[in-house]
Amino acid sequence: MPVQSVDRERILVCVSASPTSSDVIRRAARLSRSVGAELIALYVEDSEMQNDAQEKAVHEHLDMAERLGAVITTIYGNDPATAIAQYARVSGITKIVLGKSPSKRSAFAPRETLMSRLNELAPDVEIIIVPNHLQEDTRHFSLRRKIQKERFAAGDLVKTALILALSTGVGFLFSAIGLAITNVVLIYILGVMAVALFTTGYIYSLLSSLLSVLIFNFFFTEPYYSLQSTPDYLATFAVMFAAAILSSSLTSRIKAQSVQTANKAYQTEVLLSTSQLLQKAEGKEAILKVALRQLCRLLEHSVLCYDLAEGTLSEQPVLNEIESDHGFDQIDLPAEREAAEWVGRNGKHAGRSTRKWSQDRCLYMAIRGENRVWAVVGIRADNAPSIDEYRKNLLISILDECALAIEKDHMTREKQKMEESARQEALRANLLRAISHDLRTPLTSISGNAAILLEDLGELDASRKKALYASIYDDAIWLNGLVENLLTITRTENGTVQLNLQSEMVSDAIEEALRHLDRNAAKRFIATSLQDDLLMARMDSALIVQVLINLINNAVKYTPEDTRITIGAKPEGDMVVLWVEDEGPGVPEGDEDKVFEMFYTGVKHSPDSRRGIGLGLALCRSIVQAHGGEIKAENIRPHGARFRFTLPMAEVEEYEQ
Amino acid sequence: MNSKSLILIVEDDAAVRNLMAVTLETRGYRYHLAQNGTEALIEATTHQPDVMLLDLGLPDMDGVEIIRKVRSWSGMPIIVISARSEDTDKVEALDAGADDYLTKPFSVNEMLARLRVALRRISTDQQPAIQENAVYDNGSLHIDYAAGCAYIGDSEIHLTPIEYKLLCLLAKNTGKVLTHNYILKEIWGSYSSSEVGSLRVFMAMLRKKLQSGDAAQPYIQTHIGIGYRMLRQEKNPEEAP
Repeated sequence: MPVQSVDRERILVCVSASPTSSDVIRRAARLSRSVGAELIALYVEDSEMQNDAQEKAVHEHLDMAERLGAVITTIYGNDPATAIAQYARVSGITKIVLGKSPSKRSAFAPRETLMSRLNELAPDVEIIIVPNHLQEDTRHFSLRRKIQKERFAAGDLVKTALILALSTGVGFLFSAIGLAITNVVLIYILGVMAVALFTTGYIYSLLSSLLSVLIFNFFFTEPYYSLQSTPDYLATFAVMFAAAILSSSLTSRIKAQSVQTANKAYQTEVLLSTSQLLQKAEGKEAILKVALRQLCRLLEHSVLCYDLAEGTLSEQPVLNEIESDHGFDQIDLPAEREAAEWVGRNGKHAGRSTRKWSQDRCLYMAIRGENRVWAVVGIRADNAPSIDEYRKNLLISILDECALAIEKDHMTREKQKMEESARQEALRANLLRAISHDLRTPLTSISGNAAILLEDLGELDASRKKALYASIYDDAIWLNGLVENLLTITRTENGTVQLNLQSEMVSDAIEEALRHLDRNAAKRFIATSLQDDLLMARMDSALIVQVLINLINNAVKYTPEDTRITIGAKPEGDMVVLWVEDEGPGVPEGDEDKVFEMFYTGVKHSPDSRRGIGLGLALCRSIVQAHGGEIKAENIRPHGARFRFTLPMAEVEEYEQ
Repeated sequence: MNSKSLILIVEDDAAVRNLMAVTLETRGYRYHLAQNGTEALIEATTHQPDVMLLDLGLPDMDGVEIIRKVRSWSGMPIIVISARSEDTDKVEALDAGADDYLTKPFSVNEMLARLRVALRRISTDQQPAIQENAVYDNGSLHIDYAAGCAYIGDSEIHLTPIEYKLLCLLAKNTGKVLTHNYILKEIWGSYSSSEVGSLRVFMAMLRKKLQSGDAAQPYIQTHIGIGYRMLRQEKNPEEAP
């Protein structure tokens, strides 16, 4: 019963090595076109080794099916009927097209039954039989195949002989200690199973079955040491022979399946690890590298990759070569570039085993995303092992996964970039608004005061004039401080800041900062408290001096006149702590962290807060953090604020030689 | 002091040039003006000014280039003026041979103070006796080169060999800002950033020892991120600006 609901007909065509298969495929394609159905070409691969001619035939048929617009699927199973029915059920197939000859023959699934069994197993699916005119040929073909396949190998022959000898030995032992003769029969069956397990090909199992019967007859049945026997034993021989053949066939099948399972497990593992590795890889280059490595593991061919950026392939491909096919040393890659470029433009396959540039030695495939090609992968495909359909499917799924990973990576990057620029934009807009507002205030005051002084005809007395001059001077100095901070912000905010780290005396930095304070600072008592005159820290002196200036000016701004401001420093572990303490109202409760945010401007009614755009402390924080330190604001008792920050202590070498 | 000293102002911004000219005029200095590097070099060669005030950001020439050219034939004090707050520019200019620096915006008082330091240097340098002298006197600091001893007032200060070498180097370049780089090369013969740390410590110790005598202005001035300078002290503070 179809599990999947279908809105469109899906036609399944069974592909085999038989020469009639191409005819079947063509008819199926015609049918699917006429009813507008999706065509799926299914090949059931079994454990039986195939010869080259057969393999080639299957490839040709699958290629043809692909050209006719079919989706190629390969499944594994020893019983084609069950496998096909299963597949038809899960993938919602509505019609199955079969050749009259079965796509697969085996001793236990006679070909007459394929159709009827399919009918039984998938009763909902319509089965269409394409008549076959090449019946005779087919039979010949399979016969030849059998003969070709069985080749004798000396090693296997020795193994067979050894196992039979061992069985005979054990048989003698058993009869010597008087065990029943049936036990000996079992020993031989065991021996035949062992032969099947340790040798390749049916021939040894058959041989050993036959030989076991003969040897058993010779040594263990009366008359002993002759091939004559009583009719009683004939039945024993027959059963023994049948049991031997059956068990050997089972054993060899299990063996073949285990090889297949191992192969498949390996390929599944490659596929799984590919997903994981692709998810972990960051950046297109890394993703492509992972994909190449995985393809190489899967296909056991050397692979290469051209990155495709803005429609042009990268100059040199990235190579991932393996020993077994000698890499790309002897291949004229520039000559094959044309094919790769075509693939880059069209997103289709080209090169070896395709119709375009089929004389090239590599197969080129695109890593294709939603609507563009991200890269072109080349696979050295001019020597064995050729890439079977199953692995080709895996290959395509790896390429698809790789495309997805690249797309995801690309999108994440785009998004990051956009977020970053949006953040920058917002910051810039805020900054601009704040600046243009705050620049006007001092400029108005400067130009206004200057105008008064210019127009003065002597009516201003000396003290009034002096006050105006002082105001102009203060505003100019304030503006300079603002510009200084803005310059530093542009230096630190766009990430290009390069700290010029030196071991500096902390006392020198404090001294330098005190030289550049607001005029208003003169109205406070500023004291320094240094525990150690020789305390040194790693710093960019210009930036740290600015941090100190900002902190001290900040203290001046938010405290009443004639109060004390203390600047101190002391070692603490492997850091140096510097602090600026004031006796003002302190930082508003709960705002201890917020003060370092941009555009934070504190309480509006504080004594000196006629302006300030809240850049200073934000700048302090980014400078201190760039130095690997941290900055904190806290309130102290009885009242006042303390801003403290840390810097890494400088190691000073031997002080005197 | 020589109030008839000739100062060459090299500055491309008219407002600043004007400000400097007016300031110098009111203090009784003579001055010449140059708007760019070419003019500056012509003025410097033709009029041989006593001191050059040089803006680093000129339209036609790199200020450091001018310093190198002037230094090839003259030892006149050069005070560079830089709008750039980057220390590296100043250090480059000082290493090229400039004596001192001012950062815009500067106060006129600061400019005048630097000028006085520079003029004092040439006035002492021009006394040949002092060049050859076996002694150095600066305020209450006294160095006896022959004996290898230094004194503050009457008491000898005990210096380690390196401290003494540093003191002598600074003394011989009194009034001039010496960059870390220059000092390291002169004293240690090499430059490596690991030694900058030790230089700081030596300097701090030296300053401390010199200061212990008189609590007035320090002899050695620290220019953070740039270098150090020995200041000439007045025994009897005479002129006031």
